[in-house]
Amino acid sequence: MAEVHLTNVWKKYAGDVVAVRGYNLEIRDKEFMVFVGPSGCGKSTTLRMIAGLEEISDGTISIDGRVVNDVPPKDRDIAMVFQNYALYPHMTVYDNMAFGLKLRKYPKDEIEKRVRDAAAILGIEEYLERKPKALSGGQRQRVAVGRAIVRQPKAFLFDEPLSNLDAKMRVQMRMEISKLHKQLESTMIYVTHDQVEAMTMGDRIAVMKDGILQQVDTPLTIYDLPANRFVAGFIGSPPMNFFRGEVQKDTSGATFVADSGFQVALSEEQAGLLQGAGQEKIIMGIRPEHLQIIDGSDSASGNTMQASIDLMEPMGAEVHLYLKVGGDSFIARVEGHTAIPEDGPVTLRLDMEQARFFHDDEEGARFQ
Amino acid sequence: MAKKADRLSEGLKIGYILFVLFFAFFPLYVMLVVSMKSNEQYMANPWTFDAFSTWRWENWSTAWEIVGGYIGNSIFVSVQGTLYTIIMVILTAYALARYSFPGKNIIYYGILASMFLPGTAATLVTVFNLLNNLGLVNSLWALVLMGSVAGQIAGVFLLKQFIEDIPAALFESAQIDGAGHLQQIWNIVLPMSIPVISIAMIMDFLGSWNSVILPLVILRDNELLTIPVGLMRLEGEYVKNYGELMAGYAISSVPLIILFIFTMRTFVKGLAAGAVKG
Repeated sequence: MAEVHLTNVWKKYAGDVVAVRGYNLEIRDKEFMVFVGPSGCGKSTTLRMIAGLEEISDGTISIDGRVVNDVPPKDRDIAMVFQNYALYPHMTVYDNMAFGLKLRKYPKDEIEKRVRDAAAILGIEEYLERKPKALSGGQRQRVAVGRAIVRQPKAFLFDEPLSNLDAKMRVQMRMEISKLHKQLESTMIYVTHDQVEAMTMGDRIAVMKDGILQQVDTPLTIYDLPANRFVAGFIGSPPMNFFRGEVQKDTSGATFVADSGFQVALSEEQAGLLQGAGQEKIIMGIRPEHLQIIDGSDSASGNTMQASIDLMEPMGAEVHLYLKVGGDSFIARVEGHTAIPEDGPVTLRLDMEQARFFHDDEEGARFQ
Repeated sequence: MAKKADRLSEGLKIGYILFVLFFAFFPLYVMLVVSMKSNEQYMANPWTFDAFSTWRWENWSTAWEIVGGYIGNSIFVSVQGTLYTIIMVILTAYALARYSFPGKNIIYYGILASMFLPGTAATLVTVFNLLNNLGLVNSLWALVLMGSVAGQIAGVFLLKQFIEDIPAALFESAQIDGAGHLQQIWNIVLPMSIPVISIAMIMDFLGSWNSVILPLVILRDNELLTIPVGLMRLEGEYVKNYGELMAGYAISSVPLIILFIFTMRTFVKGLAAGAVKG
């Protein structure tokens, strides 16, 4: 039940290693915020700075309006769930969950009540007298979450809590944590490198790369309107396809001519956006689901390309087609029972309304 | 064929174990035998018990009168020395294992380097002068003090490695739960490193208990002597009473036997842990 504000936060280590650069973020009360990014992008470091486990090199972090830069972790009124559970192996589940409350000298019956309530929420009542080593991975993670819940903190911090679980258990715990968020109505900050977790759990997602915050927004906005090529490629599975090319104009309008050979017509709005690009190379991005296989004879209808099939991955409900056009490899995601020609090229229609355009430079910002 | 070979190797194994056990227990057996004999009986037959009616129980009572006080002194010195040592070992190892601070490596390697300094015999004069200046000659506190500093190095070395192997997330989680340094030590380090701490304590206790040279040099008054020095006194200047001497040895080993019985399991566990981590 707290807002967490990060203002121009930096984390530098000895030897000029910068883990987090000028991080600005306002996490709202009761929000489920997900930090996502590849390994080494600084997301865990940022979380640990909020927890107080890492000192910040510059900037301010405030929780509920109070600057906590120099406040030790125990006085920040936060609880954290670790990737490797961090359960005390010599204590029973009950003692693990009660530990924080005992240290804070809560009365015994209050501790008992809170632990039993949390255990009921998480369905671990029958394990309270067991030691952690007698529990499965999923049960241990529930205990770790329970230990956080009993404290009734202002904010919950999760540091890749599901990474050590198997795929099935991960999906289940994902739902449980989401439900828990609705039930507890408290601020949660969740770190993951798994973009599916980010998309499904977060109210908002903060995408990071190389210590820099790339974009913060709702999952769908990030999916539909990625701020740059990195975000576009990182969020979404399979990732967005990119084609390098240039805009050519003639009397009938503007066209995107890909280096790999195909060309597609641009809408007036897109042509307007790309006016600034001039003769420079640009990158067109289009998600795999916005490519449809059509009958070859229908190609006159425009915005089509011919591509050869490299590989097919039938997933049941859908098929992922790994395709090639010129030197570009890309992926199309089509319905599971689409008729796909066994050999020879396929014709694909591009849903150009959904195409996004990016600068062809290091930053790769989207034209907008 | 295979069965025969199995039986042979099994027999060899048992034979080897019995061989080792024999040499381990034979001195103890002789100690008990001789403790029940007069000098004449000892000269006549040192290896087996005589008839029960001739057992000289008074050897034990005489020995107890002499040795009892020494045992008290040894317990006073060893228990305190061990206690202070282990407190310092835990605090030092925790700080060295968990935190980085300027000069940390210098301190740690300094501690390790002191392991290579020569022991009591070589530093005796210096130590004596130091204790003399502190006014601790002929005082049990001198032994407590020296006992407190003696076992730290190996202990710090062993425990630091052990604490470093405890996942950092446990300490961080405790920190967030509200535990300060001492609470982290009490709730995480202690319960998780009982085997290593026990072995450090037992080794230290044994070192203190068996120490001879320093108490011999420091202690003057008969009533202040510790067990090893006291036993030497038992030998007498002109006449040796072997029965009393052996009874004294037997009595003085009782506290160690009790200690070992109670700590055997952790002792063995700790030896194994030390073997892997150390």
